[in-house]
Amino acid sequence: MADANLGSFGRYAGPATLILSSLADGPKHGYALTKDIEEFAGLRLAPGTMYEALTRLEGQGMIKSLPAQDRRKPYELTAAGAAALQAHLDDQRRVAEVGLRRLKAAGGTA
Amino acid sequence: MSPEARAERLLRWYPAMWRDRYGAEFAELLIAEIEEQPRSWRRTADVARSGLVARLSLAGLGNGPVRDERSALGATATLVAGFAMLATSLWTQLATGARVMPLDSHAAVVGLVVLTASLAYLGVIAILAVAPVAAVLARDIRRRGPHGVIAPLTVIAVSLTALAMGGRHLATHWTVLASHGSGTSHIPDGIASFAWAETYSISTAWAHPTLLLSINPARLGWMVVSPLALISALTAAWVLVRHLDLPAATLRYESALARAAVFGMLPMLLAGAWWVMTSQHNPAATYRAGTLDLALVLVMTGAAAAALHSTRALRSA
Repeated sequence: MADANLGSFGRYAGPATLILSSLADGPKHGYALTKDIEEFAGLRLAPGTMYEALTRLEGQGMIKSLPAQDRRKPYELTAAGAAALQAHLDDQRRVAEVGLRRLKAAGGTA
Repeated sequence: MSPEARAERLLRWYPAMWRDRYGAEFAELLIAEIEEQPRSWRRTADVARSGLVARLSLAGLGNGPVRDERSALGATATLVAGFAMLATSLWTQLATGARVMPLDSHAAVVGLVVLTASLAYLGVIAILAVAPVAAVLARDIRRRGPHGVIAPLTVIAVSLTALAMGGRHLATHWTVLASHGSGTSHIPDGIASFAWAETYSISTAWAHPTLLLSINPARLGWMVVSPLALISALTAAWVLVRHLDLPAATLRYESALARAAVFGMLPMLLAGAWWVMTSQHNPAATYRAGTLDLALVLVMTGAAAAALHSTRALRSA
């Protein structure tokens, strides 16, 4: 599903972006994802929310599971997931740049 | 309690099909979380909410990827049954009212005709749906014995008997139909009064304690018992269907009937809504629908939308 995007994720777009960003540097299982996201984003995804987003990402073909290690199952980013993440982050960057530029023009500290 | 046992307990919020796919890895995450932070009501609430979302998605009532055709069928059947119950409540007002006084608007006449035809249509679909399931059940009992089906069959039999006997008792003691007015109705008295008795619990009295307490104790008891009996029968039927190994062809047949049933909800909704909305704005209307009827139409709209969503899941199942 190469044309899938995170816009269809609704309220799961936030957790989905965090999960895809975490997987961008290599496969991780659930707990490793939680710790990594906590480290780079400063927030902890609750386990139920994490797996709701994971099941949707897997259903959309943006991530895929790898063979289980013990009972833990790592996930890795697919090409479709990488493309969706790239597009989503580009959109966010554009919005952030506009916001920062306007704050600066208004005499803000940005 | 060990972290493993607590994780296992939290996992029960999720449906079996979800647990089969994600249960082991999710349990590992929960165990690690519990070891790090033994007590967290936020975590419990999050898992409970997420588990319920997974259950709704399984029945086609959400957008999650894990779906089950039989759960979607069960959800559709339950929604159609609930919808039909509410539609029957509207219908009985017109069917019994027409007996006492002529229906005084096109909306009331069309409402009675469309609701009568559509309820009959749903009744035929229900018979067509139950017949092959009963055949599979009979074959199953012959092959494997009655193990596992006695309890749900007993609950169904007791619930339906209570509904039939209680409804019949209340209907025969209803005095309105005994006093013939100036109206005429092609609906047999027995059917109209029985349907009225079965939907007696759908009443504004629940919102008015004084009115509720003035109701005859036997009737008040019936207002509590009849919906409980219906819910028990539906729940037991669901347990029974889950127990059976329905062939793929039967599931396809039931799915087609489910879609046909949902299709039949639309004219009922339109005709019922037309009568309720127009009579609300006509103070002179003899058959003026009340606030309860407006609420019924709103709930029926929600049930129809949910049933439609559920059948979309059937197509993709």
